[in-house]
Amino acid sequence: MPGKPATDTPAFPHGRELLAELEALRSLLGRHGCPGEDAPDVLGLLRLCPGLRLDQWPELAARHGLQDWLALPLARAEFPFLARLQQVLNDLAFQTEHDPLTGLRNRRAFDRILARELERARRSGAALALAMFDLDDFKAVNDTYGHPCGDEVLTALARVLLEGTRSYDVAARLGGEEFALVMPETGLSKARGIVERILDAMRTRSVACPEAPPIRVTCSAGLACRRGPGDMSAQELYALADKALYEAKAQGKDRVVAAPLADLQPPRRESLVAANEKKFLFTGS
Amino acid sequence: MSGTNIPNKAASFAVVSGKGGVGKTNLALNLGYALHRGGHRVLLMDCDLGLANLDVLLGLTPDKNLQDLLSPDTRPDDVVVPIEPGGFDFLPSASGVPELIDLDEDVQALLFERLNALIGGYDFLLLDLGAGISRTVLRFAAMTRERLVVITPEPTSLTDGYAMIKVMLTSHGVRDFQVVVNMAASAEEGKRSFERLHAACARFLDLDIKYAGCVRSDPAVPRAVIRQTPLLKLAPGSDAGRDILQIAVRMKRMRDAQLPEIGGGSGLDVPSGPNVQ
Repeated sequence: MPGKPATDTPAFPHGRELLAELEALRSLLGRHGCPGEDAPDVLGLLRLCPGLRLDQWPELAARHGLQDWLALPLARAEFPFLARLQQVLNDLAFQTEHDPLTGLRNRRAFDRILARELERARRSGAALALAMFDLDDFKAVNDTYGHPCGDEVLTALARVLLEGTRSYDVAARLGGEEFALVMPETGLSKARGIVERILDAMRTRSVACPEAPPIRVTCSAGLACRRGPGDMSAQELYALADKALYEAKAQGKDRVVAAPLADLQPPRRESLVAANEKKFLFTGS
Repeated sequence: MSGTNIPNKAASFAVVSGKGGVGKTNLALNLGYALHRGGHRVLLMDCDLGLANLDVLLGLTPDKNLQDLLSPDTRPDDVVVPIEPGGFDFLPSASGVPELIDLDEDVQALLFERLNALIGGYDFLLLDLGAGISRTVLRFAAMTRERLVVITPEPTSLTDGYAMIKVMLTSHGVRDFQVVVNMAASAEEGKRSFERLHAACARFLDLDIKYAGCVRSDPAVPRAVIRQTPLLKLAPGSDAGRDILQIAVRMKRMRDAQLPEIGGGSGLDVPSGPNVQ
C-alpha cells in the first residue's frame, strides 16, 4: 500500500480532476478492457495533460497504482495541433453533458448521475434525495417580458441551485423550465431544508432583464427520497418527485411538497407484542 | 480470539428487564455479593452503557470504565475495581454518553474480544444491562449462557418483560430465560406473577421459561441503597436478603450443572451478528 491516501492534492493544475478521471477509466478498463496479448486489435487511449511534467509522473504513478499507463512527454509548442484537438474534445465532452444556457448538467448527464448515485446508495444503504424544480408561471414571463428575460430567469435559478447546494449535490436542467437536484446521502428532512432555502433564495432574488424592470419569479419543487436497503429504480424515484411537484403546483405554487416515504420498512411482525398477548398478561385469559 | 490461556470456568448471566425501575441493578449487585460470599470469584459488569449506575450503588468513583477497554493502551486489569477483597470485582461503565447506547458492530466485537481476555479467571459473570430493547442490550443479552429477566408484579412490568423475551427469541433465537419477580408483596404473589408470564410464553411463544424466584418488598432494600452498601452485607437476614440468597444458590447449581460445557467455550459467546436489520 502506498503510504499516503490517494486523496492528497497533487501538485499540478487540475490534478484532482485528472486523477478522478484516471481512476474512473481504470475501473472501467478493469471491468471491460484489455483482453490480452493475442488480440489482433490494439487501441491506444491518449489524453493530453497540460501542466503535468514527466518528472512528476513516476511518483504519481506509484502512489495511485498507474504504473501500467504509458506517459509520453510532448512539448506543447511542438504539438499545437494536438493541444488544440484536446481542447476541442474537452469542449465537446462538456457540451455533451451540459446545458449551454445555464452551464448546469443536462438531461443525459442527470440520468447517468442519478442511476450512479442510486446504485451507490443501494450498496451503502444510505439515503438519497431527488428534488424537481419548475419555475412558476414561466410562460407569462416569456410572453410579458420576452425570451431574453426568460433566459435570465432560467440562469438565475441555475445560479441559486449552484450557490445553495453542497459540493457533492448535482443540479441539472432537464429541459424548458424544469430543473432537478440530486442530493446524495441526504434524508427527507435535510433535503427539505435545502430545497426550502433554494425556494427562499428565488423568492427574494430580483432578476435584471434587458430593457425591462427587474422582476421576481418563484418556483415550485417536488421532493422524493429513497432510504434503507430496498431497491428503487431511477424511474420510480423520478416519478415520485414529479408527482410531488405536480402536487406543489396544485396547492398554489411557490412551495415544496415531499412525496411520502415509499420504502419505509414495516415493523417486524414476529417480535411485535399483539393485543391478545397483552390482554392475556393483564387478565390471565 | 485474543490469546487467553486461562481455562474458562465462568458462568455468565445477563440481568435484563423490559422496564426500568424494577430494581435490576440492585439485584445484580446483591446476587454478585451472595455468590462471592459463597466462595466464588465474581465479576460484575455494568453494561448499562450510557446510563450506568452500579458505581453509585457501590459508593465507588472509578476513574476508568468499560469504554477505556477500547483503547489498546489500557490493560483490562486496570479497569476492574475490587468491591470486596478475594475476587468480587466490578467493571464500571460511563454515564451520559449517548454514543455508547448504540455501539456499531465493529466496536462491539472489539469490546467483546477484550472482555473475553478478562473473564477467564472468574466463576461468575454478571452483566447488568440497561432497561429496554435497544440493539446493544439485545446483543449483550444474547451472548451470555443465561438471562435473568427481572419483573415486578405490576401488569405493565409483565408485558415489558414478555416483550423482552419475545424480541430475544425472535431476533436472536434465545430460548433460555430465568425469571425473577422483584418487589413482590409475598412469595405467593411472586409465584402468581411468574405463572402468568409463564402461561403467556407457553401459549404464544411455545417457550418454557424458568422461575428463578421472587424477592419480597423490604424496607431494608432502600436503606441499603442509601447507605451505598449491598443489602446482603447490611441485612442478610431480611426477607429480601434471604430471597436473594436463595436465587444465588439456584445460580450456583446451574453453574455446577453447566460446568462440563463451560470449559470448552469462551465466557461470552460473541454472535457473528444479530439477524435483525
